[in-house]
Amino acid sequence: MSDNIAVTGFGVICSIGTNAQECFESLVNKRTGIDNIKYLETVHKDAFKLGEVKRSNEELAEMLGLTSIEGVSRTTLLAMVAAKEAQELAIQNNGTKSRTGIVSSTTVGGMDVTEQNYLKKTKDYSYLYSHPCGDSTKKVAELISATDYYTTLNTACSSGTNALIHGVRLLKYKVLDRVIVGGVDALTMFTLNGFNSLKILDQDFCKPFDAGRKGLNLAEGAGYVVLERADEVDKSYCKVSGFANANDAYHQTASSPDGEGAYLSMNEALDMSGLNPEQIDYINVHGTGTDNNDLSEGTAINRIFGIGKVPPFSSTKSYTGHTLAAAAGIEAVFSVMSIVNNVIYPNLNFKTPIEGLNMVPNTEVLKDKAVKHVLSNSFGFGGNNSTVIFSE
Amino acid sequence: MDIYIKSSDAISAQLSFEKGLPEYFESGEESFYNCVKPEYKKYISPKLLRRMSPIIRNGVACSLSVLKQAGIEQPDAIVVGTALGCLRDTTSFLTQLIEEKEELPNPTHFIQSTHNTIAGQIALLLKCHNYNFTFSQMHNSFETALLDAQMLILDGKASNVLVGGVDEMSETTYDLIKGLDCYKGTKPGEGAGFFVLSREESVVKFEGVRIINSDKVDFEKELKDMGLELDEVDLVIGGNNQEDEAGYMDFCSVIGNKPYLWYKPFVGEYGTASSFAMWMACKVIEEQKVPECWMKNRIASEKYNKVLIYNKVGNEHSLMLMTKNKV
Repeated sequence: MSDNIAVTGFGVICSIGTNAQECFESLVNKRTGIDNIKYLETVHKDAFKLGEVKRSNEELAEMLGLTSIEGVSRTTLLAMVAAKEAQELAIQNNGTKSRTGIVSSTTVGGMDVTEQNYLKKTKDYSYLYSHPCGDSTKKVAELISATDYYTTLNTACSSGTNALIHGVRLLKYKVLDRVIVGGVDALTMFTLNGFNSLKILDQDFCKPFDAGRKGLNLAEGAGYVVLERADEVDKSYCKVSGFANANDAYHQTASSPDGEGAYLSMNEALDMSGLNPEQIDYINVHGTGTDNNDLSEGTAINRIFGIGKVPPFSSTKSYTGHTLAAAAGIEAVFSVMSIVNNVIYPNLNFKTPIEGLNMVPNTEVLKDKAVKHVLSNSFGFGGNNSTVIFSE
Repeated sequence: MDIYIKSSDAISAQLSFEKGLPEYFESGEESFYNCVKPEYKKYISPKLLRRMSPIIRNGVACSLSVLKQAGIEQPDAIVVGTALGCLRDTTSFLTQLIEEKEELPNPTHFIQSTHNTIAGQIALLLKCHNYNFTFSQMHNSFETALLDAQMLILDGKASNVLVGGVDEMSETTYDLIKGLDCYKGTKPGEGAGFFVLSREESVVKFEGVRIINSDKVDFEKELKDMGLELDEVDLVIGGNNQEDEAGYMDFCSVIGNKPYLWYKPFVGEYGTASSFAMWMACKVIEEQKVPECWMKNRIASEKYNKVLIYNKVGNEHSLMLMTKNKV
């Protein structure tokens, strides 16, 4: 598989920017997007910090040149902005392709529309048309002319990488010539209260891989990369050199103490890439900032790389918050930009290492060495663990 | 590489589970279809069962049945399609959080509201660490899961893949959706259809799945791409809901006078209903007979070796092709 699939475009919108360049500027200037709640309708407005995209639905529609957003969810609008950016870049680099499709992912779909209408007891139930996960993908596909094939993954917070995995195979088996892969999620009352009921939200800024971490900051956004067969493109940014999905098979929501699922997915992805662990220059960790995830992921990373031999790593969720199904898509874009710009991003809000792990995340903007191989982890409910490796 | 369907099963509003194609129908007087409840305890412990909503029960029981039939303890991959996911848990959580003004709703409903709860539960029960995907693309949810399963086998990543489609319909959901245009002239339903797709030879061969998003479909070309001429098709299973459904006219005129079965009037319309059609195809090929009650026309055939399944909603179409091995 290695060297066959090229990344030819990328696009992103999240709390630290409305396009790839803005996000990159925020990353290298240590500007977080996590803030007090401004847009989401909830009784918890003063209780939590969120990674909101700093645009209203109307403003997002304006960015897209849409005249009506009737029946269009925020999830769809966010996906449209990022997928359009990614697609335009790919066309600029390599022209149009005969068969183009999109593999997206979302956990909430059009829940933002559903919950507001449910709350208001709207009697015209046609608002439900935007509820299914697949609705946002279909609308994005139509907007960017990627209707030759479209589908949606929902494997919770690992979804975006799984979309990439399905996309790679669509190229390999010639179902498509170009595929936009990634994920999206908008903030909703549903997810905020869901994660709150699980008691894994930090009311302050999240502190991934810190001993004093208290939970995650929920967030929203969308991120997509464009994939094409490497031998059919003129210009590309990097290759997809390895990937894997494995199941922790331990608990519906919690990760196992030894990080078995995470270990298996990283191990298999490395195996596919043909790389030795020492060749990985940067790990973009899942790093949600919950007690359970960071300990389990850290343990698995130590098992792969060896204690004290872990390459520079950081959780960019300390900037963006946890964007659920969008996380892997957004972090794929960040990983690609890390290779393109030879930059390793810092992990914000870190003070004290987690006892027993002997792991310290990178806390500075590193620009002094070449970044050739980046490994990115994304894990989710249902024991779903995914890893992707991008290579120069 | 040839790919086979080693085992198949379906939980539906008819007496399909662990059986062949039924010779008669359950009455179906309700305004929507619910599944005939299997004896879940055969597959799931009572303690676990209590916590599971019907969609999880049906998905898990149907999966465990096909694995048992295939004699497989651990599939190399689990791939599930669901159009609307765990609706009951989603509705419960949403209703509670709205009624109680966001005062700490019950986390169990939230945990189980995620679409991949079904595939996750199967992995948990089997202690299966392998590849685990869930697709949700409305009425092509099962088809894209099936394509993923096929590509995994072609890629040499799996020999046996557990793949299926599952959706649920409740009273609450029915009240919300009954007025929607997309359900006009149909009876909503639910079901689970699961399969073991395999490299190992068996009676039913899986020839492929095509997904077409377009106003017009060149059916002959699509079939040719799957390695078959239209003339060779012995039997068609269509996703029609009504006798004269306009959307199916194009297909029916191309297909001509072939034996034609339908199923949605008897199991209901749901996002992954085509998984039931695939189960029907497996049974007809294995048994080489068609109970009369499923026939849309009265045309019979001497053999049922090549079965074509067609489904369509709006401008989204899917074709699935199954054949009898070594005829």
